[in-house]
Amino acid sequence: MKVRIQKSEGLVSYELPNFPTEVTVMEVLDYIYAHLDHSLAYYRHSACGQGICMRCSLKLNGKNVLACAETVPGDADLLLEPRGGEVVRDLVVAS
Amino acid sequence: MHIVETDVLVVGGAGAAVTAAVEAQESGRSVALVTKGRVGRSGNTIMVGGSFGIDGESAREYCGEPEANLDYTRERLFRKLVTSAFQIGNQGMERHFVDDAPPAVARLLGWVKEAGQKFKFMSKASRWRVSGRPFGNALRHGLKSHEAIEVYEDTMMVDVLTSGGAACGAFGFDVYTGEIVLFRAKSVVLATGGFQPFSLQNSISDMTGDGVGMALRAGASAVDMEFLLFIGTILEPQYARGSILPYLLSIPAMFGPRPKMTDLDGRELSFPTEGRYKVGPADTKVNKLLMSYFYGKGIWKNWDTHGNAFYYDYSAYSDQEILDAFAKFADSQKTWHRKGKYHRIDLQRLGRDIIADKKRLKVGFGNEYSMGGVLVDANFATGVPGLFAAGEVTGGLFGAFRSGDGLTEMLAQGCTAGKSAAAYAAGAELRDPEDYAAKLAELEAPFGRANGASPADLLARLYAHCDRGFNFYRSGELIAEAYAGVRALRAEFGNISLASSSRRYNLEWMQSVMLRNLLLCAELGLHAAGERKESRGTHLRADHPEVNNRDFLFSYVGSLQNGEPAYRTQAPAEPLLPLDRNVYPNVAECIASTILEHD
Repeated sequence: MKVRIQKSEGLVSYELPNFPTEVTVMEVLDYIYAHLDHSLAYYRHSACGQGICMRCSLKLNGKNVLACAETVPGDADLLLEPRGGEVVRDLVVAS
Repeated sequence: MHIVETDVLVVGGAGAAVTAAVEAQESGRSVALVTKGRVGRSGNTIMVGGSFGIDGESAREYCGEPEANLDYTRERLFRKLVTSAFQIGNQGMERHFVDDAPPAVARLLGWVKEAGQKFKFMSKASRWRVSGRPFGNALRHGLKSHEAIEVYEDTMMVDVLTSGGAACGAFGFDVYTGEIVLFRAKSVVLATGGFQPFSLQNSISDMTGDGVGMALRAGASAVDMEFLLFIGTILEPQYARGSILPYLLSIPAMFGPRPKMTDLDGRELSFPTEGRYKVGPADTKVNKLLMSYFYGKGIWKNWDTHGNAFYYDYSAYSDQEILDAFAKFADSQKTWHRKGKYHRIDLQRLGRDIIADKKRLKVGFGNEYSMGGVLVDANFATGVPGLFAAGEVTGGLFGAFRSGDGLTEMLAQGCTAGKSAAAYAAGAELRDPEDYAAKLAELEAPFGRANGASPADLLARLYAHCDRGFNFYRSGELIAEAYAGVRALRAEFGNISLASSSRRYNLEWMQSVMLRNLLLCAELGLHAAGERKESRGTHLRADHPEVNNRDFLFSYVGSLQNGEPAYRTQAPAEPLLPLDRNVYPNVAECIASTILEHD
């Protein structure tokens, strides 16, 4: 799986092993944060992970989605960008 | 730095915090509420998929429910609390709970109505069925209708501040900007929820025992930290991981097909749900513990190879029966969830994926609630002057096992703690903290280091230790390994560093605050779990299955002495109901003999 993320300092590309099944975008971000880039900022504090709190929105391939509720194939190529609004850092937008 | 001055500071964003803030403000004090997430959108509350209740008489008298079951009396509710706690709950608190809950629930129901939310009353069990989002909406409405309360969201609190041994505020930082926020207050209420040091999460992401950690460092004590409640939680499919659906699917009234439970090798896990272990309508939540006990016995046999995992096996049913059952379940949930869904999960898709996986759903036991927490008295005072606590962050009410009533707990305790904190503040002055500079330096230290471990890595290792040694089934050997591991992590914590020097939404920095608290909670809990060489409530020991009321009818209490944990035991104080000193062969027998009311 290849994931490009629009970080504050520019577009960064990450290579991940493919997941065996579909995964949520949040799971992809968790993997990158845990294994590849501890500096990545994405909405993750007090997050419900169940599509309830509605706070983890971002752009997946140009479309607004909730990271915790949007699933993608385990071998997908993804482009993740912050949604519209004032960017705090990387994928986090002030709410 | 931003400085806020207030009479009462409430830390937390869900039921206990909102009710404490409202109560303190209605008592005539100025109030600030600060939460690391968003009010009504964070905390365990939002995950609710069940119900909450009070005794039937009060449901009629206070809450206008004319059909409420009068057989479910205050006395029965009190006895249920005492026995479910396996007798180590604080009976004084349990009595207060029965009395304090009805007006607190009535006030919430008023907010529910005003905010246009829907709760369904079940008269026989005297409970309201609810989902997390409507509950959160009602809380947000209740808070907004008290405009004088200052609200600070997305602000992570780090420590309570003290002067002369008394609480005089707290400080933290805005997670978006990193700006330090200092609250100067005459009294502080901690209402921050429980702690969950496991990789399988079924709650909000950051149940990290912040209030317990802050209270301990301010000089308070924590009690019953070994008791953690677990319920069936989806492991796979991945898109549904963390959902508490398996618990709901195990309730016959909610989902028709009865699964056969098996271990990962297909061996059946048995749970005799009839006869001695049959639960009545007011006791359905006792099933949570009975499931952990009975299924856990089988899962434990393969703990080293398979860990915390088992199957809900629906192979006795046709494809159509499974899909129809999910359609019917979805219909029963439509008051609170979008069509065909349970939270984010498309239920027909889940049904098809179960069918595709040999009609099995892969489940583990996920930590839902922590019975233990900050030791408080009947006024919810912690022993540190000016410092109070309410809700899941406290220990004492539920002892070794909470069989329902978590939502009611937070409402009732929030009210009482809010009143107490307001009364204290009325006679106190704002004081300058003595420990702010030192505590701020601790918070900022990781930015000045290099080459230390990342908080993210330490957190993953903490989960691994607790997954193996502090889970829903335990043994002395694995508890000891986990305890040593957590102690080592706590030592390593002193040398952490961060990958980014930015203070703007720095996840590692946030995690450093939470990890410190979670490590402390886990260490205290594991210590007590190791010392408690018996089983009691949710503390299920494979090597000591008996419930030993002769030798272990007390609580373990932890505090910090010069920064290191110190322990003592505490016997139940002046019990209102006589204590049962019998020894039971295991937790299930104790439940059947003392909690369940047989016809």
